[in-house]
Amino acid sequence: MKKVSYIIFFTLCYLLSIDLQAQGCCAGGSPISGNLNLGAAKSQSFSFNLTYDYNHLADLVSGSEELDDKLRRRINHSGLMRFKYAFSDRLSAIALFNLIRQEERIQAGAAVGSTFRKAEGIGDIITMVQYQIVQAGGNTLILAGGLKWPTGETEIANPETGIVLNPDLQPGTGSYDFMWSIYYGLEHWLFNGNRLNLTINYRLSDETERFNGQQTYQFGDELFVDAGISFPLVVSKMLLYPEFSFRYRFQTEALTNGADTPNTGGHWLYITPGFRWPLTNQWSVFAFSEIPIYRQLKGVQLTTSYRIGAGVQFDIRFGEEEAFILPD
Amino acid sequence: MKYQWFTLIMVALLVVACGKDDTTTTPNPTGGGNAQTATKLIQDEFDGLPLVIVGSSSANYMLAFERELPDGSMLQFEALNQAYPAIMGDQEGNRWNVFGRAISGPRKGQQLKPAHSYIGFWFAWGTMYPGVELYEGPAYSGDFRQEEPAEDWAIPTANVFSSVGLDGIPAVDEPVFETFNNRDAIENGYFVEDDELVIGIQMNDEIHLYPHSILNWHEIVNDQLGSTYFAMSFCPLTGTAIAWNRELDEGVTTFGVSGLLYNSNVMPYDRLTTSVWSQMREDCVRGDLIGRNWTTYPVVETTWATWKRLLDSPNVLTRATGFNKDYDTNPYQDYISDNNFLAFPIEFMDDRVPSKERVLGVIVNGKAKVYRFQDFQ
Repeated sequence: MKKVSYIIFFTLCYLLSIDLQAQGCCAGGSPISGNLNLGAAKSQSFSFNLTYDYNHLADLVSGSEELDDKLRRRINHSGLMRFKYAFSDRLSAIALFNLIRQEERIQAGAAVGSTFRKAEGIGDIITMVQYQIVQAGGNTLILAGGLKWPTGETEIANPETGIVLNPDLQPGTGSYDFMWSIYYGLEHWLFNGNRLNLTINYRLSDETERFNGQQTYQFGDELFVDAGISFPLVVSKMLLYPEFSFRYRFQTEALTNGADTPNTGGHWLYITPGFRWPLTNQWSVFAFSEIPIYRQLKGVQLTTSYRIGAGVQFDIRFGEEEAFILPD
Repeated sequence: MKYQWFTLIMVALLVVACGKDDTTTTPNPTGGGNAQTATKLIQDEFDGLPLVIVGSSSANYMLAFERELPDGSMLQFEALNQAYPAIMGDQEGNRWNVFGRAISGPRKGQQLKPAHSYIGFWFAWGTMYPGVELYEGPAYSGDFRQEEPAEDWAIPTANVFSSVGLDGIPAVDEPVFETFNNRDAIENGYFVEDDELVIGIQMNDEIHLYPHSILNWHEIVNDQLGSTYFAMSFCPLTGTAIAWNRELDEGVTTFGVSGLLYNSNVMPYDRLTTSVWSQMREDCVRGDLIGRNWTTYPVVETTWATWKRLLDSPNVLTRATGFNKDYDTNPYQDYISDNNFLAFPIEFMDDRVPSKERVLGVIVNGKAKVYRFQDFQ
């Protein structure tokens, strides 16, 4: 009965998220919201996670229609470092650092040739605190909240002209953003060994200044809902954990001097297959991908064609295991 | 019961009558009919130059011509209504069209000299020509201070911003035009809506028209009429359309969109030297050709409905641009109607007129004077 109620809860969350009203924005900076990786942590444990993230943006989408127009292509490379330390079984702190390189190539035709621009540097840093509310009967429920700090560079200029590159090419956003997350995990859902994961991330964007302080800009608020499953699989005597999830992303329109900014915001739905491979008790490697299956965007936007990534994770525990029993 | 039958019969008759009307409507060969469009004109003088400004708020055009002819004659004009393609006449009995050509009268075939003018959003005139004179409007009472040009630039770069990369907005280099007749327009349907703004240019007896729906996506069309190579440019952010000669001393070039904006106005670049130009300043502001001016050609901006009344066989840029763009969608969405939204900062904000109001600016000796559509109602 409990399982059935969880299924209903999960389904409702998913459907509700899809029915939210459209808006959104193509934000600068790194794909941090999708790389927080919340989850249960034991007391006095430490984990370090290094991820490479490749985001290929070549789809020009008008509303929900992809145009046959490959004139412009953007590639975002991100290197992310995530540190997580658990003060107790309930309370953990997370810090996420990143380096970003954003490239833009425009192929304007045989007679004109192509042009290339890039900007690279340190991106915005995220710090979060997570609190585990429930861990019982295979259920894990975690709340997390934190801040995105405007540490990323926002004034990188074209070396030829000296003119500052457009904001969506800059590694940083320039704004303090508030973030909160809910993570729900259910072990042994449907069959033994598997795990159902549901994560909801919300980023509330604050206002920032652009163009030498002459304009205020506010990236759209962003909602991520990840719902997926992972399960153990033995392949050639190796234990793998394939993961498969749906990711829904919703972003409100950005605001320029308080007014809606054209061609920002929308709904995205992706499938995100991946896997985790534990090498030892402490080391594991992982890979993921993100493929759009539905987009409903405001105006016309260059958006993700696909995204792939891979990384390594190191986990270590310093203290003794503590008994932790919560009322069911 | 008998009332129900009566009602049914009446409904059936109504349906038949309506259907008959729809199917027997004869296409009007003038395309837009002879609807009354009030033409007004203003005989004015700006910086010592006698001008006639002719326009119609309902037909959506404003044009400016010099009143003095090369032979020294000074014409006195009067507006003509329901006389398309003529829009004004004069004391000699000549009738003139939107391109300033005498289409009847003793001076038939002669050409008025167009004043250097074009339509654009008020804020653009306010910032590019600080303190611009406003016809029958208050004088500018604010203060403005222009910064010194940046190194290697002819302009200060504090308000030069990057929007996209070089050619991120692709110019049309091989434009295809199609001549429509009005029967086709009605029976097969144009891709241009009646209320859509369309830019027109005439050289000798040839006319090319450029719909905003295409220019919004390309901003520059590298075109040719007869032996004249020219670029038709349109900046959606300032609403300004300007055409210029692309035959430089160094040779014929094409222009592309640099992705830079000065005071929110498009900055084209020439592909011969990659020098950067300013559309509204009409000069080169960076690169090998810095300080060079270009020769402009007069353009006319009005709605497609008006063009159909003015021309028998409009020759229109088609969507066969070589690019797959969503021409049915305006990429600037509500930008035009939102007076509070400017995509990029500008040097001076003049608030005498709503920022996105389309006005006609006339430039004489480097100074500008602006006329509003409300002057032509």
